[in-house]
Amino acid sequence: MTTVLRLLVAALTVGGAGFGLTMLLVRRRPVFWENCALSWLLGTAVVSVALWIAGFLLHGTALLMAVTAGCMLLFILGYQRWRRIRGIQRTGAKSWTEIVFIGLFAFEYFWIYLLTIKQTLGWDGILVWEIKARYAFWNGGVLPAAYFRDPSRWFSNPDYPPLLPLVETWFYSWIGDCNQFWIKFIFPFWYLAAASMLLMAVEELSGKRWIGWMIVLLFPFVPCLHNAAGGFQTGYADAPLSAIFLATTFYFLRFVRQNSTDDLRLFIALGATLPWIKPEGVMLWAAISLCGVIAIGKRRNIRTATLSLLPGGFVIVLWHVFLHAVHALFPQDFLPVTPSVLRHNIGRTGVILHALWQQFIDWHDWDIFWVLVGIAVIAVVIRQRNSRGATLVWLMAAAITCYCVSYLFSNWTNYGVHIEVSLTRRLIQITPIGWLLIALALRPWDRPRTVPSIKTTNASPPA
Amino acid sequence: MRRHLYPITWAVLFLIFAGHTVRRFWKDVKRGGIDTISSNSSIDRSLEGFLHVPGLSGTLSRAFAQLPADCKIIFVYPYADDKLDFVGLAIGYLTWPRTVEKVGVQSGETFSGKVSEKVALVFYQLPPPFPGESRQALAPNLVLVEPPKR
Repeated sequence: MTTVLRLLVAALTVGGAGFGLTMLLVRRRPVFWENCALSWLLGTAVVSVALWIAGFLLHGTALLMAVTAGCMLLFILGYQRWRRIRGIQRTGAKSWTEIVFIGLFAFEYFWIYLLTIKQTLGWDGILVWEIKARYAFWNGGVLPAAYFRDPSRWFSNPDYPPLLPLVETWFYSWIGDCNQFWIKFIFPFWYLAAASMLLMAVEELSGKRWIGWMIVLLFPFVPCLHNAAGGFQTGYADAPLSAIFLATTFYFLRFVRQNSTDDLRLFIALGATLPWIKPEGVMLWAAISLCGVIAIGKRRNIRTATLSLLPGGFVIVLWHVFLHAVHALFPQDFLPVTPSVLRHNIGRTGVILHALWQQFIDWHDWDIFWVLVGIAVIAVVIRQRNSRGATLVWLMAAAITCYCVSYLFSNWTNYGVHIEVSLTRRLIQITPIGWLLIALALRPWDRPRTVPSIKTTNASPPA
Repeated sequence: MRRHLYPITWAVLFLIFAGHTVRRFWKDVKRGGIDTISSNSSIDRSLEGFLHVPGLSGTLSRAFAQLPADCKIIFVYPYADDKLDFVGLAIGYLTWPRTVEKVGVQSGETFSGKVSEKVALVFYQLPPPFPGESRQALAPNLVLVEPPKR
């Protein structure tokens, strides 16, 4: 019972920090579901960054106290701002239909939790992510520098960014032990955050709240989200990355539509979190930042557009400077990206595309999800030729292309095995974007307006 | 009618998707019992799948904790065994801060390394070739040859 209470306190500190940061970034009261999702997504980023930076100076209880104090301070500042902002916070539950949907979702969430505590952490969940959390916990909350240059732990990818391991360390520090059972408590929070974001995003894209609820309820039924490596229950970083990418995309789409500074700030803050969770996050950040630069450049100015790249770029550079400073071993899975490697391995293209196609038609892992996405893409191209449709199609295409191209640089002796073990979970990262495409396809047709021709009597001839 | 065809198509697709996947989800929920509440519950369950011994991480952690912190562990395994991946990596996971080296032995070859004050050996599915050294059976087919006491 004490352990459960401690886990709750740890979760509250994360949520408190996230709430504080959210309120400092915006000038309105977010809606209830939005607040919950942002509190967790930004809170995990704040706690992991704080543990990492404060860990250069402090260890053990002092580190725990300092980070807790920081989280409380952020919460207090955020709460003061929340009180100052006028406006009523919408809770969402307005009708009987809404209450029924909330009940169904709560029922589903219970089963997700049960599934999580029934299943064990996956192979990479233990040997890539939890291993770092454990070593950091044993070292007073700080990842030991020797770990980054230990060839015998090369298998655990020491160069991977530490958001997930340090969040796990945070919970270990609060419960006072490394525990592979209790740590599973945190993963359904990412599912909850993803579901909350999906509800709002689908409602805005489809124009109907009930479609939002329907997609939220269908979302965890994509088989590999609940029974394959990389799903919400296995302790991998892919599902959390998918939740953050979904939130980033949602605020970007909102910014494109409403040109609001709040949405712009949230888009940039969440985008900067992407490279902090997994190397693939760099690709996703690059894909959405490119859209960001174009959209911000059009709506604001080039200076703001360029500045929007700074937080994410800073995270990437800072982490690489750190890896260089601790003499971390080079990543083992991929060769350097050079034209000669590309020329040498271009023959792999057929195998990679075949593996991708096999994923799309793999009913065991995906059922007909990719068929739905395929139909949605065609429908969006025909019916929704607007910036939102273009953004979603671009993000999907860019991510899949980057994933496929990366296998041309695979350093595995049998690169087919590399594709086999990683492609499914990489596609999990963009599953919510697939649902957003489906939502957009369900929107009533935006037929292009016909512009009436204007007859002028005194028109001057063209020059 | 044409106006309704599009939403009806989507409704049918969603019904097909839900019909398949809800059943699968329910099957997954019903499968197996609740995981044991222990520090190493996940790694224990995986190791049990390979070595058929429950709660093995405790035995391994206790055995490795007796070795000096600067002691290197050499994991010796038959080269062509697929299971070695997880067992070898699990040993790497459990032995921090000791360094671990994996040595695959081809069939017909014998391992030529030796224990020393700073080197312990773990043999997986191979008989240790040193009859005189102090050894500890960690699991069937998994033997730790400890370094000589100083």
